Amino acid sequence: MVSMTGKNKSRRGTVPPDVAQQIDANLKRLYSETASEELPKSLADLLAALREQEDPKGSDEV
Amino acid sequence: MSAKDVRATSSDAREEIVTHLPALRAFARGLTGDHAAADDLVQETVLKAWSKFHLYKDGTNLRAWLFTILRNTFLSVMRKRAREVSDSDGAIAARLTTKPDHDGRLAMQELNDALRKLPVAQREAVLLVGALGFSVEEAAETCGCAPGTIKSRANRGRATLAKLLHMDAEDAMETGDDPVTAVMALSPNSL
Repeated sequence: MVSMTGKNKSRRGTVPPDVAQQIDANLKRLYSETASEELPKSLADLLAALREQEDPKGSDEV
Repeated sequence: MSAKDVRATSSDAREEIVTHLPALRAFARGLTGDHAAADDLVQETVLKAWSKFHLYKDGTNLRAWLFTILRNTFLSVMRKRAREVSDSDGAIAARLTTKPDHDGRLAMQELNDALRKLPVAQREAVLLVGALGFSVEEAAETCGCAPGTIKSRANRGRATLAKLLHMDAEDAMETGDDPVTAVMALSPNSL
């Protein structure tokens, strides 16, 4: 249960729309950084290995 | 269509997985609160998605399919950790017990810490809808529940975050050292 005070008082389990928007905006900021990072080498290596496994001798092989 | 063409089409579709990796990493980081554990989780997800791509129904929502795999993998690891509390060398499970990376940015840490205090169901709803911009319907598809359930979980998650970050108190936003105020004061480029 969330305790709301003063003008921000709201019904149980909800927050005022402006507070919800602030929370979402902050979360977007935090995770937009991750989304703009380059992939780590371990993940790039894994993708390369999977592609190689898929088609080890090139696309001409049927 | 020749066997070669079929294989090429399948391979092309599978390459679409790569375009979703940044968002998958963000979701994993939000769920685990730890960079290394998040990347382990994404690697597991990629391995599963790649090897089981024949189960993906062409034309359906690939993003939701991938996020579901990641979510289920995370929940599986959590259940395993609960069963094997003494596990000391399981790669992901062990890392999930560690503290998050410290990058010197207190506000970011405060928000991450608060997020990790949410029950997983609320955390994933807040992350998908709030942080990653999923529609309620797409988040519901990802989590295998009704849209109303996602909406409710996201609302409860936000309410708990507001309480933990002192955004629910009337005077909270007036204090300069409040963690959320600090986050708001940072430019996106500085985060």
